[in-house]
Amino acid sequence: MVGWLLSMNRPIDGIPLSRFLLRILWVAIRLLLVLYMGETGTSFFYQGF
Amino acid sequence: MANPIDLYTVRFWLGVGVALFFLMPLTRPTTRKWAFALLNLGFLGMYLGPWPVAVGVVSGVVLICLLLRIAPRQGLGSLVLTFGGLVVLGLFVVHKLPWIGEKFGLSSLDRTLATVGFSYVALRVVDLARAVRDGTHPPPGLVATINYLLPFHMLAAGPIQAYEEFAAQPAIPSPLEAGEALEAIERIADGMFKKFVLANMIQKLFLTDFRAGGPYLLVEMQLNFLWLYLDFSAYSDVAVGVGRLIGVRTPENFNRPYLARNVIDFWERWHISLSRFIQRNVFIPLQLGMMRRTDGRFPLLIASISITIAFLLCGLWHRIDLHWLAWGALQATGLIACYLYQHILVKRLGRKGVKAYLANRWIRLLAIVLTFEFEALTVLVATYPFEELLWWAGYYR
Repeated sequence: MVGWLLSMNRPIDGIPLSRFLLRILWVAIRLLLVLYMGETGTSFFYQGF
Repeated sequence: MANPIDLYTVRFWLGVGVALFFLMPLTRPTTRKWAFALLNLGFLGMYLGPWPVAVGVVSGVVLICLLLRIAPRQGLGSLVLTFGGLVVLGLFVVHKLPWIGEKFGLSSLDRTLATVGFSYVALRVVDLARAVRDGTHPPPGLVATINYLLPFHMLAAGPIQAYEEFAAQPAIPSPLEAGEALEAIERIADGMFKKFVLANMIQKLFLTDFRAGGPYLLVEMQLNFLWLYLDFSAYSDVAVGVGRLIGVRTPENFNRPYLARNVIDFWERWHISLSRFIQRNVFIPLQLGMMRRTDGRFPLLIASISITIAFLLCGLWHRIDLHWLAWGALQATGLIACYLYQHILVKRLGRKGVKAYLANRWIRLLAIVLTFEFEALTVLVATYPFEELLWWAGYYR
């Protein structure tokens, strides 16, 4: 258990694993909101310019 | 069968996935270039259908390549560039004024140009032609031209990459580290969240296309500008994120524009790729040309004329109508006013005084608010449905 907890601080590409996972979680939350609230056929103001 | 590029579809992300899957393992420059070109054409094929891409797009790029080979030559080069410029301008006008397409039976051409994002492609063609004509770069081959003009992730809404930047990027990008991949995915998530959650929420809850009128117009003006920022910067975020994932350099388009303290600062933070394009291809050549003719006698006047022409053209690039022409005129007025104000400040306060003035927190806050309001007003002018109101009031009857 202690070893596992310590491994949480092993960095990935200079970023602590726990922070790395938190960032992935935040990405996932935002993308889930996009999936829930987004809709097809939505174009951008500057699209088709 | 031209369809608009839609980021809320599996099709778009399938294209990104395929690009990632095929480009990442490639370590030979030529193979990677070809693969990217085929992916770009394949991506367009998904939206336009195979024939318009094979016949229209590829033959267009081949023609551009041929013209660029002749462009550096004296005499004939100018003729060829004029011809090419007129063709691009003609397509641009057909694209911007759909009634022309309808009148001459070119509606499908207009839909194709809209899908390709022809306004951006036209600016890339201009940048490429200038680089070749100036002799700073040799004419690119067919594959490089496809990759510069039609990068799939920058098609729908830019950014407008400078040809110099495109040519300078390494043929094989450095391998993607886990941290970089995470940053790229975060940018994509940022963009998708901004557009499909924040911008859409503001649009649905607060924007009425200025039909609510009354004092709400002022509130809507602020929210409309905020919405535009979220909407536009969202696409740029996605493009930059996808670019990082597939190892294709993609320029930044925004740098916290709502913190700009004047219009000059604003244009260094908003639609950066467009303002740099204007600087390279319109403002500097105009200014240099006029300075040479007048022996540099009227620098402020020449700068003002160059700014005005550059931003009127910029307005018409957005849309060929009076709204956007007025928008361009307002931007030019704002920029000229800022340059004059800077000039007066330096004269009155001296260098040290200006430094203290710029460091003042309250002045900074006021400047930021005024810049935001000015830019929000210009967007209101560009998007306000004046014609509709005149129609209701009976002026068009």
